Amino acid sequence: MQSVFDIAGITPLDCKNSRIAAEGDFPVLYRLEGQKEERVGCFEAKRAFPFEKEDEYIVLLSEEGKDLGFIRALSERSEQERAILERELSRRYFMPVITGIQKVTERFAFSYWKVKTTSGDLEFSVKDTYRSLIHLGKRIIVTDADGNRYDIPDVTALDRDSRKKIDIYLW
Amino acid sequence: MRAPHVFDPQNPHIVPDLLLPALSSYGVKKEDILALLYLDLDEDCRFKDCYLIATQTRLLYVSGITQIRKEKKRTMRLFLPCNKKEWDLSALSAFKSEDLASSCRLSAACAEGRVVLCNYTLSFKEDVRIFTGYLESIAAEGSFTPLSGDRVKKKELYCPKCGLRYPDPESKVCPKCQKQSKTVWRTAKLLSAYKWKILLVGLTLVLTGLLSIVAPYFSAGFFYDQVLDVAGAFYGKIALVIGIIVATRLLSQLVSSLHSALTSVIAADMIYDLRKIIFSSINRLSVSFFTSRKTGGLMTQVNSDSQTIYWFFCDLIPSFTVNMVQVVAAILIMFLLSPPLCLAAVLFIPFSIVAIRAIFKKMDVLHSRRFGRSRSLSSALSDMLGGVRVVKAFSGEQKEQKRFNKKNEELAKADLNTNLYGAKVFPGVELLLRLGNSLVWAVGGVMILLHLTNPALVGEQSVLTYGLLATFISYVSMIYAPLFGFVDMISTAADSMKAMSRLFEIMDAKPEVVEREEPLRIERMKGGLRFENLGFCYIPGQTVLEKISFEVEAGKTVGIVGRTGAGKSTLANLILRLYDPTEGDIYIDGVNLKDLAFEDLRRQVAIVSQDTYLFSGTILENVRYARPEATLFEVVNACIASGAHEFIMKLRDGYETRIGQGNMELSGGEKQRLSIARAILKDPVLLILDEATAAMDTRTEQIIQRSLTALSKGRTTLIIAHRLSTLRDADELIVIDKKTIAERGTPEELIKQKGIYYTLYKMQTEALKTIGISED
Repeated sequence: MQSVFDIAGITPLDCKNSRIAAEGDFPVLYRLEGQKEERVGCFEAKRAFPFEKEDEYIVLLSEEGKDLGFIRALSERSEQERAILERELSRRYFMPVITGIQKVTERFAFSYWKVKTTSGDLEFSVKDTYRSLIHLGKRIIVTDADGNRYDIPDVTALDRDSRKKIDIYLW
Repeated sequence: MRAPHVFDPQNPHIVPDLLLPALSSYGVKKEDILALLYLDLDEDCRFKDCYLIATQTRLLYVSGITQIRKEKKRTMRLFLPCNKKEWDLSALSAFKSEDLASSCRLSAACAEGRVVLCNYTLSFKEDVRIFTGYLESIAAEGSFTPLSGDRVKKKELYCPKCGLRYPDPESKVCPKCQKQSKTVWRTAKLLSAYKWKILLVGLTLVLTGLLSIVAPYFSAGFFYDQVLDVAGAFYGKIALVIGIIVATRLLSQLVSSLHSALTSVIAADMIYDLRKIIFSSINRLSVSFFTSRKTGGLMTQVNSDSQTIYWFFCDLIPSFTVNMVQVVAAILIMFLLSPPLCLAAVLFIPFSIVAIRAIFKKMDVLHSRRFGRSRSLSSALSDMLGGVRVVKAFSGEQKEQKRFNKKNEELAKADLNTNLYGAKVFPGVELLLRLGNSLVWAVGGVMILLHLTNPALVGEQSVLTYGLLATFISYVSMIYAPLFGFVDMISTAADSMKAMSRLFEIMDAKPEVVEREEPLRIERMKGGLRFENLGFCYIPGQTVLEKISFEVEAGKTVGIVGRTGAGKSTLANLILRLYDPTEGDIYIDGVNLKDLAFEDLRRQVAIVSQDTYLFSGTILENVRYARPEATLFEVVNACIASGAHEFIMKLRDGYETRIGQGNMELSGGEKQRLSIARAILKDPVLLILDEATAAMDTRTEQIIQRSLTALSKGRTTLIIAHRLSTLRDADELIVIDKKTIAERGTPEELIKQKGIYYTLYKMQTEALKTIGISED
């Protein structure tokens, strides 16, 4: 009986069968087969587990969305490649981090927020507030009315005034 | 908050004045600018004011901050650039915008490879999409044509007066500018039929109020001072006074009963009316309204909102008015009787109100936390109950127990916190009020002991008597009692306002798909269908179909093939006019669908789709939904033809078996057969089968196929399918790929073409061969 894990016939992308380089602002994948090197092209790097495992199971997709394979752990790659991948991933998963909440007014389940973030101060609106907050233990991710997301890595670490403003949404 | 510059797709060349100094420093003249776009992220993804500027040859990206200065009552805006990037526009091509987790980036190909042009948040996605279209034209041809008005599905998202974002861009209600009083007034006008009854209720409350004001005087002051005191005018006349007191009580009771009877009658009628209004408003709206809302929310609206609104007008307003009048009257009387005592009585009121308000605010937070946890527990429970098969199959009972325990614990904690808080705090406030009481006793007692003259306007007595003091105490408690009620009313009044706003949100919402005024009526269509350059998207920016043009002769059968999600079912939705196309038109017998009456269109078009919704009712009622006047013979006939008769007769109650929510569950195939019976009963001119036999095994499908083939003879039929065996009898086939028509022709022609259809055909015949079935 064939092992259940061999059925899909997947081989993760490691340093023996692949090489990653940067062409300008974008990363490019090369497949290695023995001595031959084949340029696959530009790819999108996505985290399979964006909240729990940021540096593991990085899936590479072609520009058309086709699956090119996955990297089991960033630590498996060389330092240079890691730097390229991390740059791409941090760009893809960029989320402003909320450092302070100045005002939250609610009208009819629509709330208007004024916050300080690591990317600057801004105001945004959230529709259906209760359902737009993702609770991950102490971490909260707020999704605004346009789909933009903002990260609060540790709600308990916010200052008292900021915490009070969103207390009503925390349960 | 609105952006400093709003991109107008029809006038993209407009340049905000504050940008001009920066532009001139880059050697860009205002007249050279073909298009300009505002974005909000710089190259390090920091929130800045950024502009993408396109001239005929150059593309610039400038990021900076807008400085606002107030100089002599004028607001001056100045743009301070921090960074600039520039490219040769004619050297750029293959523009691509990528959606990332919480932002987007626009990149293009140039001689050096692919470059990132700019970053922006999702809020500007649509603007960038249109702008990129313009850039592509400029890069390729040196010019572009701005999109025309009706092609731009741009919504007004912000209130023009205060700049605040609309919670719902469809109904354009600004929470800040919309006066709450207007909403209340509008609702009041809606319910104007009840105004006399409500007034009567108010009257009963006034009477009760008056009686209660008078009672303390008689049972306390009057009793002690006039009846029991030797010097009193009514000395000894106990019977008289007790009689008056009893009579007052009786009258009060009668009025109270009248009040209850009145409110019961009004409640039933008014809530009935409100529910009717809400439901009929929801009923006339288009399908798109329902897809964006959860049915649960709408149900709450129809049910509990009507109650809340009723409560506002028949309970809150009358009792608030009366209580207010009572309190003011009591204070007035107390002042007339003895100003210093009055002062002592009201001293603690402001403090109490402040304390109560703070308490209610905290309670709000505690209550909503409790509500959130209770909701979480309920959903965990319904998950477990609904998925009990999966729980058992994976031995998950322990896991579910743990999960439930955790949520139960959290809810218990929230419960405890809420109750503990109440237990700690409310007695505190009560203490405050008791202190007020004690103060009155103290001051009064001192006044009596010292025989202080009481500047009274009532009666000959100038000295404070015990009786008067007792009266005072009763009035004081009359003021304190409503205090809690008042503050509570404020928060529940807020809930009612929300319910009223929701009511008008629905009443004001305009259905997206509207029948033309004086639509054309066609009694019996022939069924010739024509699509002209059809395009559609559910969400702007995500096109589902584009440039679809084809014609179906009346009576012919056309098969539509394509991958899942290719947009085939969308075609069906468009033919039924559940949505209007974003581009292009659909014609039936040469008449544009938009000009045709809904009734005639939907009466003669029948659709059998993948998901069948059956209402709560008997099988007979469900099938007859297509044509309520159909005879039983016709119903049975339709069911025999659809293959449903077989399983119906196996059921105990036959055609009168109750199905739908909460009743007998039918299998997918059985539901499909009922759905086909419905379509047959309708006797349509145009039949759309959207994966109609998907849920059936091949043998059942073959049986039904015969009926469907017979049904589609002479009727224009559109068959949407994956399974090519169902398309065997089609006169023509259309393959939809990459949002448009890729191939068309007869099945034989397409196989010869060796294109997409051929590939699909080969795959399916091979698949069947491996299990030993040949399609020949």
